Amino acid sequence: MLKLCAKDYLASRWLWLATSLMYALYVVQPLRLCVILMALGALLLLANLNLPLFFEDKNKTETLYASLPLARADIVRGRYLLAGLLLAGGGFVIFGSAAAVNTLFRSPAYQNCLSPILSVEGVVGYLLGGGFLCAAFLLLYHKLGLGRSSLVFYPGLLVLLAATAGLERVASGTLKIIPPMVTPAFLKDPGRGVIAGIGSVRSALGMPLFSLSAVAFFTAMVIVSFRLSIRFYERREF
Amino acid sequence: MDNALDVRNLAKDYGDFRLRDVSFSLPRGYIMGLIGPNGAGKTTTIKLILNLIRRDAGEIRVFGLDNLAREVEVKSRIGFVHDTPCFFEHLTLQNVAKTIAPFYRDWDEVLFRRLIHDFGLPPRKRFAKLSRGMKMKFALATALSHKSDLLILDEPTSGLDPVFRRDLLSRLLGFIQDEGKSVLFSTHITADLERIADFITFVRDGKIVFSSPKDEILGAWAVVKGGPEILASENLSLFKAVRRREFVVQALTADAAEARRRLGSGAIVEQATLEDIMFYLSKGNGHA
Repeated sequence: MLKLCAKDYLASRWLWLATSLMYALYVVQPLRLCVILMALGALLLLANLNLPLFFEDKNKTETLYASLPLARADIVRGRYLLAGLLLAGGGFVIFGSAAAVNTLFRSPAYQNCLSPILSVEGVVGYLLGGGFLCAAFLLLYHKLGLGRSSLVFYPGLLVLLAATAGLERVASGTLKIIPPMVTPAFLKDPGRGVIAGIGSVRSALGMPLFSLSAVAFFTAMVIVSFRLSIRFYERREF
Repeated sequence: MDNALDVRNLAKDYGDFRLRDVSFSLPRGYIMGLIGPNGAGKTTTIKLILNLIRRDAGEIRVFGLDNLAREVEVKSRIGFVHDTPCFFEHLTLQNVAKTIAPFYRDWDEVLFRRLIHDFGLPPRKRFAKLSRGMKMKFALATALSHKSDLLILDEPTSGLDPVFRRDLLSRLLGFIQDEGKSVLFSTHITADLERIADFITFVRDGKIVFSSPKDEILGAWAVVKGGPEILASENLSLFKAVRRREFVVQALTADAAEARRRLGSGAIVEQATLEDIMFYLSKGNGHA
């Protein structure tokens, strides 16, 4: 499957480098808001995942690779492996640049924004959030192709965010089963708020159960997405 | 006979087009031409062999192996050229080759470089900068570089200059000199097939009209030219298709000997070319 990732590397390497450098340069500005860096991190990951898919779509090379000695399931495996490598590479860029800036510029302007990101909760949030974005996008991509999956995915993310906020309102306001999360302090920097939320889950569960739950959630997400993707892609006609 | 390719009762329904009951066999060591008008089902048949589309019925065996159950093994023995070569356009040819070569166990880099050189392709040029003919040459070079046993070529000579077309045809003849190698060659340029094909399969409206040795076809099929009297009712069963002009009738027969015997000096009976057969069967009014 690494062969498939290698061809994507050949096709996309310079643009991957460009997006990563742009992100790293962006971190140098004192942003104060975690949420912006988190959104940019998600964009970096999605852009890097979309680039090889875009080149495949633009050049219609899916027909070529489906004609090579590969099963459709192998092609899907290759894409999930690529997503995993991009998640790891994106993490390297995001946390590496944050750590470098935090170390080089020891000012509160940076530290307020970067310290939460550089925590265990920040890393777990990145892996779970990034894993979710990749799993959801690849699932839609294998079902609908690049154009239609993009049309569904990005509005779908906004709907999901709105639905999550609505559920939080119902659970904390009407049902009163959880403490309110969306407080004025949360709204000052939702990024910090989300990381703090992960921190409270960690405190409630304890580190071993928290880690286990995170790994189980991540694995379940990837497996469900992967299995459905194989089923969809095996039906694709070129 | 030991076959490179066996297609049995193949069917595919697109709604507005149906491939029905397609069956033919390509023996090892031979070249088969797949001919037919646009939209007849040639590319659909090739896509089904490569499992690019799902069949509704039928069976395909490549060197005796089911093309779905043994997909990877089957495809590793097939070299293909699609009607439109699709590679990463922004990469140089040498990098495009790097995105394909690792998938073939028997990729021969030396052979590939020699072919690129022989075909006059600049390895450092971006694929997007090539003409259609050059793109087709590159696709041919990749198809010939992994020691495949079966070449499947979908309109490979379209966009090629006559000099390279001749060169390609002689390469294909050289290819089948290696024991057990075969070629399935879809084309509109029937003159190419008259030079090199051993078998011809004619597809029309999603159905096989015939699949026979080329010499048998060219020996038996003929164009009959004469006055309207050749269409006497006792002769109609001779003709597969008829074209009428004001004073002249031209008809296609699959039994030249019988046409000569029945019509005698009342008609001219000329050996049909593959183009004649394709033309009359596609455009002529059917009889029989």
